[in-house]
Amino acid sequence: MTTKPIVQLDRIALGYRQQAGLPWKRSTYWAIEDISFDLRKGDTLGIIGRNGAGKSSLLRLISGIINPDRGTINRDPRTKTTLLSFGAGFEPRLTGRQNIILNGLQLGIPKEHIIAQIDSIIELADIGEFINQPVRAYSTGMRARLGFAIAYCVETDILLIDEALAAGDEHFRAKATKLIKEKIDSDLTVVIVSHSMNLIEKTCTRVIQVEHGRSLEELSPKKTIERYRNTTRSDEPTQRKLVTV
Amino acid sequence: MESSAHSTFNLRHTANVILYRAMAELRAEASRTYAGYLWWIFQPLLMFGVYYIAFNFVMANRTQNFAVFLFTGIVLWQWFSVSVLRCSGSLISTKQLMQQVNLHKTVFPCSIVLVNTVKFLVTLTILFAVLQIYGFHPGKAWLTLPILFALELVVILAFGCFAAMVSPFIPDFQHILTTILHLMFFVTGIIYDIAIMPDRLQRIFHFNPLAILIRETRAVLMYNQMPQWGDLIVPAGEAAIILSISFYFIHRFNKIYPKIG
Repeated sequence: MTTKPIVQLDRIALGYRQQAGLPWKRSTYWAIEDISFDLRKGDTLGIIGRNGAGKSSLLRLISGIINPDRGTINRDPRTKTTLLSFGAGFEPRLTGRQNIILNGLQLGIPKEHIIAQIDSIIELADIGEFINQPVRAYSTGMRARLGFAIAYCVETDILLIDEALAAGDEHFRAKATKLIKEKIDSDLTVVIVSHSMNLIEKTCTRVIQVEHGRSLEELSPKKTIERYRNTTRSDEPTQRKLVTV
Repeated sequence: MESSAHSTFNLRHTANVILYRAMAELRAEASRTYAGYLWWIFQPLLMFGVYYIAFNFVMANRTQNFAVFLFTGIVLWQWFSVSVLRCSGSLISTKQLMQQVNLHKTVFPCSIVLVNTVKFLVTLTILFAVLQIYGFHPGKAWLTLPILFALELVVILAFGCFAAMVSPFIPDFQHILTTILHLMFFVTGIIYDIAIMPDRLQRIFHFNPLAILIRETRAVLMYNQMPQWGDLIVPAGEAAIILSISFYFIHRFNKIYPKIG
């Protein structure tokens, strides 16, 4: 497999500046300290690591929402990347139907496209009469269903999924997993962040472990998951430092 | 420079996002109260009611049309002040969303200005009705109103985007802004005519884009006077400069905003 990488991360670091009492005193929290890897076309990459390891920040960087403070990310400018947001942009007072258009537009789907697909989105979400109710009346699971259904119709080259399948009941989770697998089997490149080793093991062709904002050496998926299980077992809390300047 | 991620800035799509965000906000706001959309009419009506009572009964015998004079000024002022104030928080309150979707950040202040412009247009019908009742009938000069409103829209957009651009970096700015707007209220000639000021002061007023605009708009509405176009050059120029600077920096900090706030 020597296809050209579509995204290349080279020793990237990302710090969040935080106020530290006095306005001229700033502390920096390095969410990502040193991460490098290549993403190739057709990859299904799983990213695993404990809470606070820097996984979500990593997805934001790959999607181009933010830029790293150090290091470089090389991305083909024509590559379209979508971060699967599970109802992050939902307006609670609007109905599900209205939110489909709002959310879809914000995800970058052209308006005509959304309108053409709105029926299939509603069918996929499968939340019945609730589609015409304000989203604030939804349960967490229903929100996730609707969010997934919208994101599913985005046409993209790289799909980034953040713990997406965590919400929703067993039935929906199975359905969503199946649909994502279908996408994976096509030419789509997928990056999944999850704590479910079961899901990672079943779907991913490559797995990268992130600890303390650093990517560990890439092993085979099986070995990486084993190593991760060992680190979590050691039960040492994730210790991160705030650097005060 | 690293070519700015994927989504090549698509103007039509961006316009759609602004439009739909504004519609969503208007709908959501209306659903918050029992009377809903009716509040857009009630609110300015009640406001005029207060002035009517204040200047016809409480502080009677002032200039006959003071209530109308004041109402005209306040309607134009509120469009500005509410927009700018709301804009100042637009890149802070949307942090969660900004971290999830790759939107051009100018979308947020723009949709807020659009929301308040729609409300202004509704209020305008009340203002027109009040003017009719008081005998200020439309004349030829009224044809210039779209130009004056368009100019005020640009001024609002400029100040709004500026406030949106700055406040994520300086959280205290929102508090300062309230004071600045409060001060501006008194130096913009809303409760008095800036023409009564001494010449020396009037020259300073000429640098306040809103003061000139409100003076001219009021002259059109109440006295059917054609605007003094020459005086509008400075406000237009100022707005254009501030708007360009703000757009430039919001664009530059497009990927910084999701990190802060």
